[in-house]
Amino acid sequence: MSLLDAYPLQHYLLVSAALFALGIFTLVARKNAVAMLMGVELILNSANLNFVAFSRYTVGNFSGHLFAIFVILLAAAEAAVALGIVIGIFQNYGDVDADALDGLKG
Amino acid sequence: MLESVVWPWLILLLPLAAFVTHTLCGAMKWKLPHKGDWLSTGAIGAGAVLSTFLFADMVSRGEPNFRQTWSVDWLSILWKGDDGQLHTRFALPMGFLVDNITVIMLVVVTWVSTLVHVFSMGYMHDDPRYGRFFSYLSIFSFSMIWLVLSDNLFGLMIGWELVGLSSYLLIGFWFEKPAAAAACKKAFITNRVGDLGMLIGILMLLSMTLRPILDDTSLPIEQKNPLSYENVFRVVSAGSYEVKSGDVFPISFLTVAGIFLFFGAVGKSAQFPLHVWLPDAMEGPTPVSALIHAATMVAAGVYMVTRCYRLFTPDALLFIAYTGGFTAIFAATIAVTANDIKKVLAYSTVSQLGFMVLGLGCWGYSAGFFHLWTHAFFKALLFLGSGAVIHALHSQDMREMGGLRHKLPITFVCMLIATCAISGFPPLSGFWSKDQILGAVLTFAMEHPQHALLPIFGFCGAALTAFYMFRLIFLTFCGKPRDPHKYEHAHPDQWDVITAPLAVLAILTLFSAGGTLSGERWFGDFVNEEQVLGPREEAPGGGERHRWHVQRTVLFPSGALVEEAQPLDDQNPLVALHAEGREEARKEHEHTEHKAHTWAMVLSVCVAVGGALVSYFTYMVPFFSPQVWATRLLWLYDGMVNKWWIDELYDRWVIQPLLLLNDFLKSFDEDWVDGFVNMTAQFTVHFSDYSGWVDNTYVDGLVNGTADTIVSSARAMRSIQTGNIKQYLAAAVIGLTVVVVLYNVIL
Amino acid sequence: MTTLTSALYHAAFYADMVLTVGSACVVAFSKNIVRSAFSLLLTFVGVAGLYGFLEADFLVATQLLIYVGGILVLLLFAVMLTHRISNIKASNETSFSALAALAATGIFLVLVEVGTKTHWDVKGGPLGESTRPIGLLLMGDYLLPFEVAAMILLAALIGAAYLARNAIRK
Repeated sequence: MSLLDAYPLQHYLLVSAALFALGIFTLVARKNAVAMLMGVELILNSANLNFVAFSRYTVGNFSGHLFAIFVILLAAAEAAVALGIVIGIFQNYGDVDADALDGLKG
Repeated sequence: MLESVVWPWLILLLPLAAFVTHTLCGAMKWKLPHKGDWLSTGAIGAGAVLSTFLFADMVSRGEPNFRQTWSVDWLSILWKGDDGQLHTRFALPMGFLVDNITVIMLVVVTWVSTLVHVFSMGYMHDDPRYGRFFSYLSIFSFSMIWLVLSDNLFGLMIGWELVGLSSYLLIGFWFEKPAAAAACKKAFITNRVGDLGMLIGILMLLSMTLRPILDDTSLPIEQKNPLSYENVFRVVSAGSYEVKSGDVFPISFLTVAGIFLFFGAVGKSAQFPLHVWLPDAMEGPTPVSALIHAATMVAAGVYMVTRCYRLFTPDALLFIAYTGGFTAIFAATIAVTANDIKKVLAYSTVSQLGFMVLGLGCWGYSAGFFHLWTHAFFKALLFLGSGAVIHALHSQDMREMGGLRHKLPITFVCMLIATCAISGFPPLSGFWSKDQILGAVLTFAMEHPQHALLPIFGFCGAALTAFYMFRLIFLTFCGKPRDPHKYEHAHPDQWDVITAPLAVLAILTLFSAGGTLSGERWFGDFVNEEQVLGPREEAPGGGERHRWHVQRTVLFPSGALVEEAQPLDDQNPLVALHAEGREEARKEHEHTEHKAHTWAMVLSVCVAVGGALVSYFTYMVPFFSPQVWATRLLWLYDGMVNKWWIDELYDRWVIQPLLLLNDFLKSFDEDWVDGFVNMTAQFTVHFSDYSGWVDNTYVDGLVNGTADTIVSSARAMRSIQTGNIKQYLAAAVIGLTVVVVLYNVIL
Repeated sequence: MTTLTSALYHAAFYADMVLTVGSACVVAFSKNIVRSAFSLLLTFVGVAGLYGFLEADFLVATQLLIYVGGILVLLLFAVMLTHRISNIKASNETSFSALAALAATGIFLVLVEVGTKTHWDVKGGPLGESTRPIGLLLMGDYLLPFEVAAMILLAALIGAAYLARNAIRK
């Protein structure tokens, strides 16, 4: 077997799933808005990993790579905007506790 | 003067103008000088002058059947004919008819009214409603002149009702007195009974006269009036009421129509049995009694019978004669025992009206009307004289009078003249007219011996008239004062507005009949049945003497039993026979008439003198004691004093049953009709309660339940909406998981 | 390939997996947010390593450059800006842990189930050097997304600057 074929696709998927689950957990459990952003990053990374893995194993071209690049690009943009929002929240509320931001409470 | 319509207009409208002015000033709170008595008096006085001119013009013409009519189109019923043109189906114009009867009535009405106006200036002087009294007098004068001038039955009816209203207002003038209030009601209601009969009569006549007018498009507009006297007489005389294209009006129909028409006169002229209102009407002021309830309005019934004389068939006239005759004697008996001076005169009036009606009923066309003419003056005089006595003495009871001739000499002389006239002493006016009536009655009885009761009524009535009238004079003016206190305080006579009219009326009483033996001929020429209405035998029914229509009974296919007249033409042998017999019959009639009048003259003087003598020996020389004779003839006396229990009979048989019916209807109304209505209402209320309960419980419950459910579920759902983004996220993820799991599990 | 080399390779691979997942666990569970942030650095590096194992050399570089050098710095800035510098033990409290655990476990199990049970049509081989093809693709087939992405980045930068500037000005 080729060295490069040594690892089955499922390994990557497993890591990706773990990252995704941890990202969800972070997103849901963290009170701190910045920490939640970290969870988002985890999720994006897990998705990117899947894209690249599928590009390598099943599609056989670079489209997955390109998607990953665009996702990274969007992640960067999102991080910048989210940072602005977080700072705005902090300025307005003096805190970044997501639980406190329940203005939509019915 | 008679050619101009201006004078009737003026006579009619002047009193109306006075009334309108009074009313307007009253409404605007304007004060008229002297409360406007000069206005009414002037209006009617001008009318009196104009009437006199008209009268003089009419007399000087020497033309009894001169007649002048004017009419204006008042109401036309149009229809569209087959040719598409509008035709007058029939019309009801209003107009004046001026002929000899009209001018006589105008003179009577305007002169008596004028004198009463003048008298009232003194008599009513202290009354708080002095002005109103004159305005009422004016509206009465207007109504009466309208009644007299009208040229058709419809207009007559309008005037008839208007005088009824005026009479009501004037009887109830002192409405604070319960008796006056009751009397005016009684008069009004009693008159309504008669008027209903008259209306029926008019409608029956209309049913006869309307048909030929409707069918005939060629008639000029003035002949399209189904109710003008002219057309009614024309239709009745033409005999077209008998058989007309299958519509049969038997002559008995005309008889019935005439009797119904006469009911109006029974009410208005206070004939038995509707006479009860007139004595009660004495509650009104005495000038009113003189004007309305003696001279003019009550004569309207007699005027109506005179005016419509052509319509009355022999049978109807017989009915009229018996009504009048009975009334004449019946009222006279009551007058004998009355102690109220005005009541005596009231019953005397009823009795004299009975005489007029009796005369008319016995073919005495001019006689009855003549008596109306003379009676108007002397009865007005008597009433005004009694008014003067009452004014002086402040009492109406003759038992408190006596010896007043020293205090009231002018009144005494005037009333004595009037008493002699009404009793029938020659050569006063009353003698001539009463003699005419009694002559006519006697002629009638001689030609129809089965009606011998009528002259007995007449002569007994005349005797009683003399008796009670002289009783009145003796008790009031002669002997010693029975109430010295009142006597002392009586105001003595002087020449003023109270006595002046008496004097004028006394002169009229003396000379209204002409004052000589030729007097009766003057009136008889002026108001002559044969000249005005044509030969008597051509009157409807033609009289029993000259029955030109031979009635025979024909059984029609329908089974109706009707009378049909033979056609009136020269080929009819009966007509030829009749023409032969006519001259002979006329001669025979004139002979009988002459004989009867001679006897009547002798007898009437005898009964008048007799009555007066008995009266003298009863009340002046105590030869007969009234008390003794009262106990001796107790049943008679009882009846007289109690007015023959007529009022009680009405109460017992008319009023009480009506009240019973009233009570029954009331209880029916309250128990059944109201009960039904209330039951419906109760049912509705209960149903509403139930429906409201259903509405509140179920319908509202449904609505509220929906709302409550939504609210509670919203409240429940609300708790899910925490606003916490993390929870939303968790829910989304879990939801996704569940969906995927379920997707895999199910598929 | 020698056995040793192969063993090392395998070891490196699994170590990288463990590094990735473990550091991610620290990110998720650490009580200290600064620690979380730095653990995230390790996670990114781990993922970059995995890219390397997947022969995506361009992406390795990109991951390191953008994530580690850009995004993570931004996050650290955020942490620092929202906490006082002196507060070293910047707390990173949790809430709804049970719910989060449920959701995470659920989605993890589903993903694992899908990933392992599905029969993937594995046909591709090594793709070779990737930078040149990606560049060609970006200038070719993906030119439009590329340009759109550029616009998005520009808009995001302006927006972020605007938001932050606005907030700071207050």
